Amino acid sequence: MSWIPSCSDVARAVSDDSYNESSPSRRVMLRLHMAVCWFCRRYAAQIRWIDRAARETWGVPAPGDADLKRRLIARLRS
Amino acid sequence: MSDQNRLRELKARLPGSVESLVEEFTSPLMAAARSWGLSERDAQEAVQDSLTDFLTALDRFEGRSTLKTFLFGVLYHKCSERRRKNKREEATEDMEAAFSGRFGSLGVWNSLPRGPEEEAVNDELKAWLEECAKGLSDEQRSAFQLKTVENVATEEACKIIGVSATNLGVLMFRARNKLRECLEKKWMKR
Repeated sequence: MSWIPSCSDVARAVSDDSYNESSPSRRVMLRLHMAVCWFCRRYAAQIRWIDRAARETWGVPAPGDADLKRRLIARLRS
Repeated sequence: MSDQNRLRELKARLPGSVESLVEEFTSPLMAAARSWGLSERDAQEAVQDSLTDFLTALDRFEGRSTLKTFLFGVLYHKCSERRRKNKREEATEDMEAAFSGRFGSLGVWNSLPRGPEEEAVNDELKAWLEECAKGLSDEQRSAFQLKTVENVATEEACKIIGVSATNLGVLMFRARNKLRECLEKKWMKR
């Protein structure tokens, strides 16, 4: 494998969570690529947005949860 | 509250222990069940069954995994059973081919990737995300929900879904890129 990561290498590392788990030398090369590649920076920003949007969509209690909790407590204690 | 203290209180049947369990875990479990495509009613039943199963087997629970891992693991299997009963078809498109197609022979982008980047997450974009998530397989949705939304550690997520760390990375790659491709299509039609 070339020691210079390509855009597809960087995009894969960003999306499969290996970007920050790579060896120190590979991490340096990934970051250098990101510093000079506008397209990859845009891609990474989109992936970060997806993660944030997912947390705001699926990571917050829904309005009906409070009522569900009351019913669950009643049922589980019986 | 630590798992150890919670288990001690539950096993001793202390007042408030069940309420505390329900208060802490209901919303995250419901969020996971919803994100895995269950109807509200099916999600509520799955969460109730998961908590009931846990309390029924409480005295046999040895604490080899965290309580969160155990509950999400039970829920994951219950949701998978329900999805099989509802005969949902799994997504079959080849994400690897679609991803590779974005790059030229030297691994350079063929065109600028487009989509939301800095926008506030309004109701329209949430609806897009919900719709795009329907294109993920059970495992992809589970991996994405556990790692991204619930911030579950890799080792715990692997136990819940029953995959290796390498396969978990593949699931995350496919989930994120399917969502990104889908959102890009909607974005370009705006």
